[in-house]
Amino acid sequence: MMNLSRLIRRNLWFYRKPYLSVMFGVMTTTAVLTGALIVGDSVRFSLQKIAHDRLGGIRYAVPPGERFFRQELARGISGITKQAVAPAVQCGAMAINSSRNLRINQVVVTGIDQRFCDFWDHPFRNPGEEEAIISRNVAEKLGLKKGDDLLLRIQKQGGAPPDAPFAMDKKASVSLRVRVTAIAGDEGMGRFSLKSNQAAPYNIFVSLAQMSLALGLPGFANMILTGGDDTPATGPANPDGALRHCWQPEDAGIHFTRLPSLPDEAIPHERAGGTRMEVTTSRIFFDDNTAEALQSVVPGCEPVLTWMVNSISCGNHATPYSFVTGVSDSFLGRKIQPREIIVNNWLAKDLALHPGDSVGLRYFLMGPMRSLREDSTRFVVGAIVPDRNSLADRGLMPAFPGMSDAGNCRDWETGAPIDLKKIRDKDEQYWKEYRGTPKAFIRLETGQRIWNNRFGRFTAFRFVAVESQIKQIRNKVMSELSPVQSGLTFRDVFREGRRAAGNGSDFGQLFLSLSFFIILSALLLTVLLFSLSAMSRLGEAGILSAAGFRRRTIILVMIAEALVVAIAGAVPGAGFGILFNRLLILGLNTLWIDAVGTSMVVMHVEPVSLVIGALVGIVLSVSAMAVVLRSGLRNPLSELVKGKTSGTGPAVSKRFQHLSAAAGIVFPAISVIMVTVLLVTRQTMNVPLYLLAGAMALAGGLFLANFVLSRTVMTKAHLIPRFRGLVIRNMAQNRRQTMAVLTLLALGTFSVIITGANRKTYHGAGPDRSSGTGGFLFWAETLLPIRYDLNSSPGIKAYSLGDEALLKPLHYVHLTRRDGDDASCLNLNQVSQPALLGVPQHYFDRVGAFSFTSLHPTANHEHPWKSLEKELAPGVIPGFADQTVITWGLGRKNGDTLFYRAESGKTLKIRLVGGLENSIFQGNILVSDSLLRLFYPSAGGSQVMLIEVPSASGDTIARRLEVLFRDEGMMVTSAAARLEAFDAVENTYLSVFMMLGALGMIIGTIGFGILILRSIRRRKQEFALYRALGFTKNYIFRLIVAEHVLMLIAAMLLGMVSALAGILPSLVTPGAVVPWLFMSGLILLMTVNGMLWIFIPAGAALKNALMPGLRGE
Amino acid sequence: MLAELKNITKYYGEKGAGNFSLILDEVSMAVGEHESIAITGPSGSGKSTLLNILGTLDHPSSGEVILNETGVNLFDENGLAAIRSRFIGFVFQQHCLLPQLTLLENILLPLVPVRDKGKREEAVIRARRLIERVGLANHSNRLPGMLSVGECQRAAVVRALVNQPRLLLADEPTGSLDAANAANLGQLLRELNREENLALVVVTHSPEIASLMQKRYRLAAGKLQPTDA
Repeated sequence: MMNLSRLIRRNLWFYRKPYLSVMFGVMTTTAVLTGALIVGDSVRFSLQKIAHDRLGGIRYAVPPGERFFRQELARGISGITKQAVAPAVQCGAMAINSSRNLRINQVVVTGIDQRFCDFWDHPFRNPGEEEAIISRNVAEKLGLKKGDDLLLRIQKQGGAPPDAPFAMDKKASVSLRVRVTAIAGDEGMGRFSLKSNQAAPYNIFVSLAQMSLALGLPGFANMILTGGDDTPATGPANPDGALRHCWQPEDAGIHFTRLPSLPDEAIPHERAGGTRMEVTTSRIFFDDNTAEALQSVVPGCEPVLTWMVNSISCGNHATPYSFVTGVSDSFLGRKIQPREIIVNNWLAKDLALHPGDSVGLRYFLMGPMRSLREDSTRFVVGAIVPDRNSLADRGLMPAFPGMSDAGNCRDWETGAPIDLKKIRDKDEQYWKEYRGTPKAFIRLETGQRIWNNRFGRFTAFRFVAVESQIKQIRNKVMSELSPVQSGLTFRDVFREGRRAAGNGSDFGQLFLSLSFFIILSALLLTVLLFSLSAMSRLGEAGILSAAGFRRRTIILVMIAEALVVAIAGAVPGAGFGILFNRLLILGLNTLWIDAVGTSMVVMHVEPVSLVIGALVGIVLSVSAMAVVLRSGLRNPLSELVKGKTSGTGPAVSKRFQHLSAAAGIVFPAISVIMVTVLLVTRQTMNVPLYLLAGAMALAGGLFLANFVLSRTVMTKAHLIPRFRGLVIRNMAQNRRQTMAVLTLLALGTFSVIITGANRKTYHGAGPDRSSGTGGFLFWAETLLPIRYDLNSSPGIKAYSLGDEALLKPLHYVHLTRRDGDDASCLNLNQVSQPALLGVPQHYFDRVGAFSFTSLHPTANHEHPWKSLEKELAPGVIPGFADQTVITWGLGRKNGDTLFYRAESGKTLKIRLVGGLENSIFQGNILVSDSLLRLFYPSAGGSQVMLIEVPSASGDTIARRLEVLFRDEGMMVTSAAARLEAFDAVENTYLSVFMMLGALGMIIGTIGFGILILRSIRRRKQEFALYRALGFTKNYIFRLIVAEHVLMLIAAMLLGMVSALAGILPSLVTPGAVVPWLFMSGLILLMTVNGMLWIFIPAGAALKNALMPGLRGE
Repeated sequence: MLAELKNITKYYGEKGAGNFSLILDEVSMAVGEHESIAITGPSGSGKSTLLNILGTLDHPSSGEVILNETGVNLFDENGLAAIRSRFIGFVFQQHCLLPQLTLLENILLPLVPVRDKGKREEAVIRARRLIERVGLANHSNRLPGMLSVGECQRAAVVRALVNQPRLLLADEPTGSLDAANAANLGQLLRELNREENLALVVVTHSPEIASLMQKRYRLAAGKLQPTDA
């Protein structure tokens, strides 16, 4: 019995050959779609896996910082939370394999014990003394195996901030020689890192006890790690609560010390019977939080501020290097005037002082990079007190490292220059007898004013308390303080890692976009293949109609056939998608590794992606085929019976012509206006707008072509057609096909050129101030901070730069770095707290370094860099970042705020006020150097430098600097190379896009070839007629070739001209070099490819007999 | 003689093999100046093949085709194309007008390969005259899609004549027309045969059209036989 389903089955079977080719098209579309979706699954899965590998069983962590706390704290927290808690010490280091002369300048050394090892599924044995476990990448890079020796130079941390006044600057690192006992792979603890980054760090694990001892902080740690389950810890299990419960003053660097008792007569009546206590901090200066807590909790607490002055002088007499203390009236038990100074007997005698005499104090004030400024203030002697008195004692001198433990003055090691010639015997004698006992007192407020610094306003607090209350006071002070204020706060690193990996770059979406052209090509191919069979069957529609079928039923039959074919193509297509994905993953792990920065991308297929890929493939293909059917069945069925597919020929309505003409003029005009505005307003990095302008030009060109073709058809009254006329007429006659080919090829050319030309190279970009290098030749990073400004005399002297003629012309721009996540395109994870970089905004403004893509309305548009100089509100500072980082790395825009925790524990808000064009700063947030140091006083020295060289002698300078700063672990990179490394990611995406685009072009040209074949087949009668009319075969061949070559050239020209707008950013970006040769090669290749697809079918077509075409069968 | 077929044999496949098919068997025929000839015969008898061989569009398996006293086997493909262009006009069952060209352009299409400027100009004048003659003057700037089949077929006849051929070959020219249009076209062909001083060979199923011609042949079983009616 004949019914619809039987008819459909019979049709499918009879037309199986053409339908097989349509299936091929659907399969390709689905395979590309599914493959792209699986890339997304795979990258997401791989990032999650990396997050798991780098954290093991760690759930929460106090990340490593400058401040150290007791290792015992871990035990206390574990006791409360009932979770595994491990203390650790982590510092940056250099690792050297002396036997092979290999080194890595930036490794991460972590001091661990067994508790840390137990966080991993297959724990290693805890490294013992002089033992080390190294990650596989360290082993590979340094050529190490088990049993080999390794030298570590570890950055010394803890204690006083490195830039604090008078802090010792020697021994910035400590050395450890260890033996490799194990090599940890990715699934061991080899990838351990708290940072959300897929790039594997260079890890070395040593004994916690040995490392903390080597740093001079035995029993202390700077990192705590806790275990736990997947649910957020609340109540007692919350590690922050536990930390707050069991933290001690030592964990905040606060020391309560009992002072020796004073004779009873020396003690004021109200304090009699108590214990004299002194509170000091290992950071020398108290931060405001601690100072406020002490003053509010301890009754009668006396703050002091002691400073070392270079000289105290009166007339021609001067006493060198003395300590002067600022105190309150109550401390002295008398009122002290702002300009008054109380001196001790020794000083009065040395300078022959009497009350009422005027003395001058000269002292150093320290700026960033240990820049010193000597200042002075005059005082009037108010009183003279005995050398040994109830107030002045050697404890008032802070524990300046390198000073307080020196045997004599000549052994002082301070951060400030000491002129040893000025030190007299009697000064040595005083030191021996009284040590750092202050020789004079001034009013505290005066001291705080003249010795103002970013580290603090007090060096000690003193109070007297009943012995039984001391513990209570300590506890009360600690309860007033929050561990957060000392940088002690747990981060839910597990959830952060998962979130960062989950919200990271969506490679599925990315590859779908990158595969856009290939999908379009495959879809067009499907349409072409389908229309080849469908159009030849349109007559059937008429027959069915004559047999009583309704139009709807006829369409239903054909759509049903299309659906079956689409399903039959999509199901294996989804399977082939896995294969296609395998190729893409292989590419990502090898050729395109720059795009992902890891070779750890593993294939992971989510069944839902397969289903989505197949469904989208089916919907797209069936829709496309339905469009073909709709267009074919538009004519009356009576016409279709006669085999007519286009009533009165290809004529198009006037309205459509006008629309095409209007769009053909308006779109390119908008494109030109857009490009002009973008260029005039110097928005050279607004790539999307340039691309939009390019796309507008392309669309306009296509509309114009459509207009010209439709008009050509309607033009009448030509006499003898000429060759050219015939060619154009033929193109116009097949307008839809011509437009399909033009669109396909123009879009392909456009895509390939855009991706090819936007590949960036920056050779020779160095000297251009407005380029992404800012005109700097080198970017230098050191492991150990450079303490001095290398342009200053102390810096030149400290690092022996004066002897180096090669280095004399160099100018160094020091930047301060506050560690954070990498927000550059090298990190696939979405980060929330990128590293901060303190920059000298005034210098950049003066030299006009770098360029901006966007500025917030509140920013200074004349001098953008000056926008950084002031706090916008208390705790709110302005910041810049590369526009790409703002948009893609952070998913933000200008005006948005990023939240950080300042060293004080308070929230620091950074408001984004401008986006830089692609620069060497990518991945960092730029803020004013002075503001950064204000909020992070511990940020000492500079670990990042930009180096200017008047005449570039490149590599020699770089290598010399690396040798000279070998101990600091300096790595010098050419700024252009750094920029290129960032662009490598973009370039890789472009490579992928181009490769997929090229694949699309191949599919497109197959479609082009099919079109030509189809056209020849359809026009067989026409060619036979030509033959009958006396045209030579050669003429007909030329006619076919000319038509299609014209299409090819027109499409390529259109693609190229439109692409010009899109590649303008590359053309106008200073220093960017467009790879013209590469592009020319590409265009040539595309042309040759296109020509092949024209000549081969055209030649083949004419070899067959044409004459049967004239019988109209 | 204007054209002559001598012992033309045409077969497909290999002799003795299963796929062997003899279409024309030692067929001979002569076409004199200004003569009109009709060839009839059953479907598939080889009438169109015979006409194509006469028009140099097809090659015989054996035998000789002589046009204007010259054997066509002396010519290569380009030479044959030139002969067709100058000497022969074709009319097919379907009008074969190119839909992208106007009626006039279609008619002038055979002049595309002609380089002689004088001849081209002459042809244009001739075309206009012929269009007028066949009653299509008002349609010359229209596209074929806008005309009836009969009008298109008349235009196809004009196109066949525009190069002033000496031999007009028509293969079932009325096959796709209704009876009235077919009769008109047959009449037109005969009139043009006389007016334009050309020889006319028509392959047709229609006895009416055949009856208009001076000579009539019937092709059956590969053999061509003269008929009286």
